[in-house]
Amino acid sequence: MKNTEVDFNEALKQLKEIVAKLENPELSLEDGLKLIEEGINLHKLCKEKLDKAQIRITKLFEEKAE
Amino acid sequence: MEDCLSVTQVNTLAKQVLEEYSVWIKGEVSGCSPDKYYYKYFKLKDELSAIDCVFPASKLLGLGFSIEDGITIKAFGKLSIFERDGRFQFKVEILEKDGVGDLQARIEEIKQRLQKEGLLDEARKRKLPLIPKKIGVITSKDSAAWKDFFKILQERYPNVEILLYDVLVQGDKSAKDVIKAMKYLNTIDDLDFIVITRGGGSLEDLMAFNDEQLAREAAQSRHPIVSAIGHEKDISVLDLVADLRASTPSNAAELIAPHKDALYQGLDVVLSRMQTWANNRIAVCNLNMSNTIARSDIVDVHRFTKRFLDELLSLSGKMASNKRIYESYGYQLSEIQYKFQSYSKNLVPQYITSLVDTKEKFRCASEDLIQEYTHILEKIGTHIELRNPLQILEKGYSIVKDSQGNIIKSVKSLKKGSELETQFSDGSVKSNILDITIS
Repeated sequence: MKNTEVDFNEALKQLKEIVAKLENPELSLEDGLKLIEEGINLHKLCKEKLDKAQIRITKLFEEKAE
Repeated sequence: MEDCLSVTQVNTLAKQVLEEYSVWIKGEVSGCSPDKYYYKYFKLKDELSAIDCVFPASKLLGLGFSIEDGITIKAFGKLSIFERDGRFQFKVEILEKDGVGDLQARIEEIKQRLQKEGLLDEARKRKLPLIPKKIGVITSKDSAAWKDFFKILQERYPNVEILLYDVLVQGDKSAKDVIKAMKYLNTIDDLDFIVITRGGGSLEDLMAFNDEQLAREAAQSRHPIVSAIGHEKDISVLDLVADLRASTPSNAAELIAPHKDALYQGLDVVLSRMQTWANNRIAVCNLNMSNTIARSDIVDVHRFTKRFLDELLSLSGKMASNKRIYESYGYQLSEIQYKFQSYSKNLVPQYITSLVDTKEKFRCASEDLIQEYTHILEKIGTHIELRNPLQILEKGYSIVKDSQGNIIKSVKSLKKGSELETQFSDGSVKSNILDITIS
């Protein structure tokens, strides 16, 4: 996995934070639009991650002989 | 070759020999078949060995107890061979109960010991993260349990990384294997939890997961433990110690992660929340915009334009009919036009900056204006054409140019003695300036 990629869980967390921030009635239109732009990118990223997801397996084997 | 026996002959012979003996056998029941057949099949076991038993189902009701895995019984019957398969078996005729099975008793002992130490307390159980990223799975890589677990997880939530630790899930070495695997997986920092799973089997098969040492290791595991051992009804000691108990391997895959569909739905909810927010804000802005328009200069601009347009129309009407009047208004006309242009030039950026969010509405509004302005300018253009210089010349006017052919608009640019060319509708004359008077 590339380290530069935003992690799905992290993206989801950020999305939740954005929605929480949008609940604030004091939020300015400009800041709100910035949040939404960010949110739409995160939303897209999360969807793509889910669409493409495959279980990644690393096999570890017990040495049969003690 | 005549000495050679057929398989059937051997089995029949062996059966005859064995069936001469009737014996009592004491052992623990395991691997019971359901009650629905003519015969009840089960095994009798002790620490080291097992023997297949068969008991007529018709005698079950008369027993006064049911034959279940884990109970210890005394059975009387004949040793025999099932001829078709050559399988050694014990044909049970009489059954007596002999208290709770040794294995079961041992398990019970372990449970009580762990309970006293508080290792089975609900309060000890840790919560799993809602969405796992990296998990350890301890199982046999060839088992149905692993296949089921993997299949269900792949369907539900494939966005995970699995460290699959292959172990023996049956036999004496099994508990040690699992402990070793747990110890290893606990050295990995970013693991969310460890799933220990195997499919169903007899009590003996599952004994590794009743191992006290294994249970203690699970209790002190750094990462939470999810156990999924056997079927719904099998509850191992490990199940009791684990942070989360799943009834089957498939059930484990269901419990440890959300379904991706739920996540898709969640994402849609987030998206629609953002849309709602934007829509609400745009609605508010539209309202503000309408209010602003209602009381702002834009209406003045509009009104101004209308008045201007009317003036222009009446002007042009007059111009068309009377060029003298046109000429006297000509300057005023361009003055008005200039003023109007600079007025709207100042206004437009002002509105653009103040009403970014309601750009669209503003665009519509200003488009209307611009259309009207264009219309006006077109009208002006038409009237400019109407004042074609040639037409003017025919009406008695002439055009005066200097020697370079520039039209002379002011006497100030002229010098005494310089050459002039005067153009009439039907020709031109050249002349010299005799005198200049500035009025």
